[in-house]
Amino acid sequence: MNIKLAFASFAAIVVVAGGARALDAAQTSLAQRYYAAAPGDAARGKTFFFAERVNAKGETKSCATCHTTNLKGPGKSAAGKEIGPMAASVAPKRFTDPAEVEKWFKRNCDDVLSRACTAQEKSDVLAFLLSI
Amino acid sequence: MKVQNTRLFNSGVISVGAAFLALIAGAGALLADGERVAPVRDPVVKKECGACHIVYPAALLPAQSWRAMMAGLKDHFGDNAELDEATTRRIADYLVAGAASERKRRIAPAALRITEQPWWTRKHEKRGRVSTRALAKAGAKSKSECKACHEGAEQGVFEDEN
Repeated sequence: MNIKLAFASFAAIVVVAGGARALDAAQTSLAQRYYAAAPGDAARGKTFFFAERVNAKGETKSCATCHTTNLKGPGKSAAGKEIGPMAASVAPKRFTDPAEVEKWFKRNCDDVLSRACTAQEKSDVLAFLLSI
Repeated sequence: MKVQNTRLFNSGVISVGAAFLALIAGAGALLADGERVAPVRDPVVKKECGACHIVYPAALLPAQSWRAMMAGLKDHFGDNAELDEATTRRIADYLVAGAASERKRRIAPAALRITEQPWWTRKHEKRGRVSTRALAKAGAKSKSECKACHEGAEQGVFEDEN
């Protein structure tokens, strides 16, 4: 997919989600990289984020297990450490470093789904978190 | 009369001196007991380890434990904590350099959990300090949360026992 189309779909998602808020330039460029592989859908990302699954260890988990359902507030790691809010509107430094984003997708998809996330799933989650 | 006063004065000096010596010896024992250790100073180690849990000082585990732990980050006590190769190496090197001496007593080089080190269990479990009730009272979900009782844990201070 070409960059223009990817950016157009990205802009459309932001408008659909009602997010008039401007994203940080680094967040926009990071999102474009993901959307070039698969355009993100915020609504689908939201469903994915809160879907409870039983992983290979038999644990019932979702992204909200640690990040909670209030993504503008802090979450808590399994070891009891506070995790900063996930919503881009209150976390302007999130989703700016590609290596950091990939590191967490790799770890967390493995912990929750016992597999890697697809390009589509990553784009959707990103679109969701950037829209709130 | 004058002589007596001098004697009193002298005995006072001796007891103050003895108290001071006892204090130094006490402080020495605490240090030797490992209740104050070097905190992690490397910013990468602080950031990566501290993303999920408290930043445990390197001296809480022997080198062999750190090496094994850093070689198995894909299953880090049940969670995936994988890092890129360069970062993994940097953190492993730092932790190994500051690790507890394997020649010390009550060090178990094969145990990966700090809470499975014999010195740790001796200090905590036998005294009921990490009983379910004690942990709940301190607001800790598990005994891995040193800070619930040792506020200065990440600064390497473990003297504030309850």
